[in-house]
Amino acid sequence: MKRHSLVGPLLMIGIGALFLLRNFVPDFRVFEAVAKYWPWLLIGWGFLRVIEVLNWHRQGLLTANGRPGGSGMTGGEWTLVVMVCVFGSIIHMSRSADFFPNDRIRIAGWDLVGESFDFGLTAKKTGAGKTPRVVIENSYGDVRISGVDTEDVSATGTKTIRAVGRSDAERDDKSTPFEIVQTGDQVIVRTNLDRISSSRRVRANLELTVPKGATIETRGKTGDFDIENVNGAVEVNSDNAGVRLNNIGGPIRVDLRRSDIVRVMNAKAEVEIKGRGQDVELENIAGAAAVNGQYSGDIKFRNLAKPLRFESNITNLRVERVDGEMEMVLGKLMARRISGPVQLTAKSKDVEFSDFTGTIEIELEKGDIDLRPGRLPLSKIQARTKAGRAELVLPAGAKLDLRGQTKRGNIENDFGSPFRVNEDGRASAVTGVIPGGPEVQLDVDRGEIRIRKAGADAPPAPPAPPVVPKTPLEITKQ
Amino acid sequence: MNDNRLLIRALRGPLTLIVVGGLFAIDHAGIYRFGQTWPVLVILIGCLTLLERSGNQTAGGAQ
Amino acid sequence: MEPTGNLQVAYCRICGKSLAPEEQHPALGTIYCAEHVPAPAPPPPADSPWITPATAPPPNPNTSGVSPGLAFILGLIPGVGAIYNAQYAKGLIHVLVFGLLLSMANSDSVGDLQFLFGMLAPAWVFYMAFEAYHTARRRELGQPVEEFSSILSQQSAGGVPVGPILLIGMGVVFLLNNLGVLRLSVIFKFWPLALIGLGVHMLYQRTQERSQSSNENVSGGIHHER
Repeated sequence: MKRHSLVGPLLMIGIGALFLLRNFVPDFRVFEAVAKYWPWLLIGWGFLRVIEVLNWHRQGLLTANGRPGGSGMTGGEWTLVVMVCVFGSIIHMSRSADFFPNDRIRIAGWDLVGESFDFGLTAKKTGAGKTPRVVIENSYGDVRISGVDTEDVSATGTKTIRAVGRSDAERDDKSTPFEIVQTGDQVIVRTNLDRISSSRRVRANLELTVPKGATIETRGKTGDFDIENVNGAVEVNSDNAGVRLNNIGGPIRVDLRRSDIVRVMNAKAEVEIKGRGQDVELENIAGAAAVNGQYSGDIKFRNLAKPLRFESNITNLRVERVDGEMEMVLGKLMARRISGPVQLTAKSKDVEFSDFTGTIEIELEKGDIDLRPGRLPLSKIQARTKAGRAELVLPAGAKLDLRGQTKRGNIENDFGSPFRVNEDGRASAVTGVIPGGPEVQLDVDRGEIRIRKAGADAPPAPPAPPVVPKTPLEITKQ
Repeated sequence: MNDNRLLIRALRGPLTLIVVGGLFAIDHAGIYRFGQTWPVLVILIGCLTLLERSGNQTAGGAQ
Repeated sequence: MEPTGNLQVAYCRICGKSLAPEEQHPALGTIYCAEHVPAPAPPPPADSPWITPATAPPPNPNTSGVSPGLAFILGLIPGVGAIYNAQYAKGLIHVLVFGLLLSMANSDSVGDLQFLFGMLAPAWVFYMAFEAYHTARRRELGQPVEEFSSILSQQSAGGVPVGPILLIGMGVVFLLNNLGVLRLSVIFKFWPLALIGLGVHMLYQRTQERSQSSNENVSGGIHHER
């Protein structure tokens, strides 16, 4: 005796009602809701089925049906589920990811029907002054801003509207007027795209020229921002944007929910990046830099004149100055030519610092630490890893008070005297003093320690022949 | 067939549905991408099979 | 409310007569009246070596349209082979494994083992094809087919359900990797454990066999020449 589920028909009715609503209430923002909440449909569906199955079980009606799967989900139901997943994901992706401006790619989705119509945009506000505050509100679309020698704010661009027919497109165009208004010293550039009910249908790409001294503030949902040659402050706030800033005079603040790249070059003041994204690149920053959030791609810093602070949920880093470069790629933090004080706390990261000065404090739960000071004199170093290797490459002539110890592992001392290795069961320690230097402490819970002499790797300075010790290396072990 | 086993079998589908929906919801809310959370599905399949087998054994079924 | 509750009237498959619950005779997956219920198949002679005793549900006579050759070809496409055999969940698993192998072949997190996964992928494709072929053959012969045939094959080796535990373990491993808690590259260092585990498992099984066969010998079982 086969019982058929009631949930299928219920769902059909629900979806039908949704579409009906959309057809008769034009402003009903169905697709925004659908794109965002469709997974809940699956959850609700599953939930209802669970209740149904439990109910049937109580009534003793579950049968094997001769087919594996019993009275669970039928093949037809699964097909429907797969379709919902595929369409739901596509709609969600096309809503929140980048719109494809050339319309070459047709995404199968309920509301990508019709053609796209382009409308040119142009507006200008003269006499904005030398240092206006320019606010750009463009929900969907890329914005490109350049600062030039002018006192006007002018904009050109293209608005692309997808509609069934030209008259519909024109109606949408009229309901989203493009305007630049000035109130006091604030100039607002508005595309009003939110006035169209279905957000997927419209996108405005803008190019603005603003006075060099302007301050820029942007708000958007989806769309890249490219800003250059502006002396004022810049603030970018978006749900999903690639951000490229170049030659900015004032403080920079970037706050994104999602991004593929944030690149800031040639900034004369502070830079603050927060939120979530993938790649981050900061280069030639004259002010303090702070990066706070979760970034899953490559993070690169180059030539930061002031302290850098990087905070994520697994890493906490502070560097006084990055003269060379520093990058975090795939769980490895590499830095070359940086100045301390450097403080690093991380859960799991391999660390390699070359050619650094200033004090170093590293604390890792897990990871290898490779320190190659390269330059003298040394400053205080305190490196600690619970699981991993600690390696210290000392240039000849280094002066330090070395205390290295590992609770479980070997120690290799290729540097020689005056350092001595003591082994005590599983633990080992290496100590020694070349007077006139700071304390260098290497603490490892599980892993080995290696002390090496620089010269095995060619120093970055002009190639010099490797320094050969006058006396043969002495390795003392007990 | 043992009632318990039938129950678990019948629940497989809807439970999977709920978990899949949940993973997508988490992805859309931006907490964790689906590309990161999919192993949950593998775990789910394992658990369900485990439950099924244990249901089978308590019925004194196959050796 | 009737104590027999919700069973409704059914109709005989052959003559269409309406049957009250006590008149219904289920057979072959549907309902018959007393007159038309098909006679149960005669018990096969127990000593014939060609007839396997039926321990599973009676063979489904509805096997027309199952082509093992087609199953093989379709099986080359991830998941489709299983779908052809109406094993939807298995099809999904096939697809997932295929995708997994490919992404691992392309991922940095496995480091030196990328080539290994690159080789496993075509091997898996052929496994899917052959698996679909064999399953289709069994269906053609009217034998019943489990949903997850030949993936989670071992029922319970010595009381430990290997299959699901393996699945759960793998799922946890990948999840931890994806969430950044514990990277795969670290876990891969432990692969020899799998070898050791297999060895231990086999040892265990064989000592079990030994103790069983020694029990038989004690109770006067068949003596074998060794």
